Amino acid sequence: MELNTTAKGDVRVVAVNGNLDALTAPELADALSTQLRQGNAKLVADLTGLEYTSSAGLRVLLNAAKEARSKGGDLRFAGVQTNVKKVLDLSGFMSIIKSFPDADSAVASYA
Amino acid sequence: MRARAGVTRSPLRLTRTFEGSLEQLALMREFVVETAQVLGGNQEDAFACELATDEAATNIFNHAFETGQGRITLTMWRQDAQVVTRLHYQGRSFDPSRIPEPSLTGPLEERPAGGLGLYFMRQLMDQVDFEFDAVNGNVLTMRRILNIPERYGFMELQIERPSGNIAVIHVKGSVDGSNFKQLIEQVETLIPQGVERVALEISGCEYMSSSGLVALNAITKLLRGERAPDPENGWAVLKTLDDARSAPATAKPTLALINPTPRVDRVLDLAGLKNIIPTYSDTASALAALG
Repeated sequence: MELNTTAKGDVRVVAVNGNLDALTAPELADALSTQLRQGNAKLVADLTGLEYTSSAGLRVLLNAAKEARSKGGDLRFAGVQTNVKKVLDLSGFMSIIKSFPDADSAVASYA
Repeated sequence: MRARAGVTRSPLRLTRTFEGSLEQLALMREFVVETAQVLGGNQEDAFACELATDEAATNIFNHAFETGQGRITLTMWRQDAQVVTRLHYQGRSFDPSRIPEPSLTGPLEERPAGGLGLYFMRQLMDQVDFEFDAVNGNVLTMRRILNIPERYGFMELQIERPSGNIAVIHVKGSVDGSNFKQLIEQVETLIPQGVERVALEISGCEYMSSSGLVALNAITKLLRGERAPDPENGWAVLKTLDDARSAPATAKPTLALINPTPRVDRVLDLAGLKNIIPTYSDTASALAALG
């Protein structure tokens, strides 16, 4: 898994590439909580390059979304791919987390 | 020798042992995805097996092994229309009936962060069974009914003899555990008629299970003048598949495949058979190669 965080105004876009499982999920948890600790609560998880996630990855995204909302922000998805969408659908997450076709539209949704 | 109708006897049973901790997950997923497809699953079946195995193994590494380290033996095979995935390990037991179903509705704040793993396994698989045994090890068995075509078990063979020692067999429908022996028997009857080389035209073959792969291997051996392995003898057949994979390509192929569908092509590729059985996009080039 590879992470790449960029700033778009006051929104932080964390691009997640590769595979998210119980081994790699803690690294994403660190990246997201670093942003939250620095007061960046408007987050976009850009999942365009994410090929696979298990529930370990979902748990990290769910916890970050909860924390972001408690700080007045949010976590929004961008570019969800087929296999990841299947897992999100199984978990019922799509009904509680906003999802956008790409990072730009997810960033724009905060304006 | 007639296959019992409606009963699939898949001779293939694939096992691999993974030792270590969570870094094994990616390797386990790779094994499961490939094996599920070789056993006749489509990509959706393979993904279901991949995710369910990942969730199961994650729970075992994190909860069953005291140090987070241990050994899991993964075995997959085909039983009728199901693919079976089994994880065998020594470790702590738990009571699956006491793991609550996660609540998947309601606002974000009320969603539980955990408990999804077992839920996913049960959603993706048709049956999930735990057997805990402190002496012989714990066994987790997950069964999934495969997305197999409606015409499962329906195979049509048409023979063409473009020249004295070559036969083209047009294979339509599904080559699977219920009928793969008929394909072998067809070649067995052609050999005494002087046939030395066979091209299987499989553009109309929608589905090929691991039993179909065993038939291809048996035909390869028959055309080399060797005895076909006993298809009922699972381990021996698997061994002969391995032999066939490692054997150097002969100068002149005796068996060729013509125009496989993408699904069948993928199964051939994953099983390593594409290296030993040449594939052509049309009959003319296959005949040129065989002739």
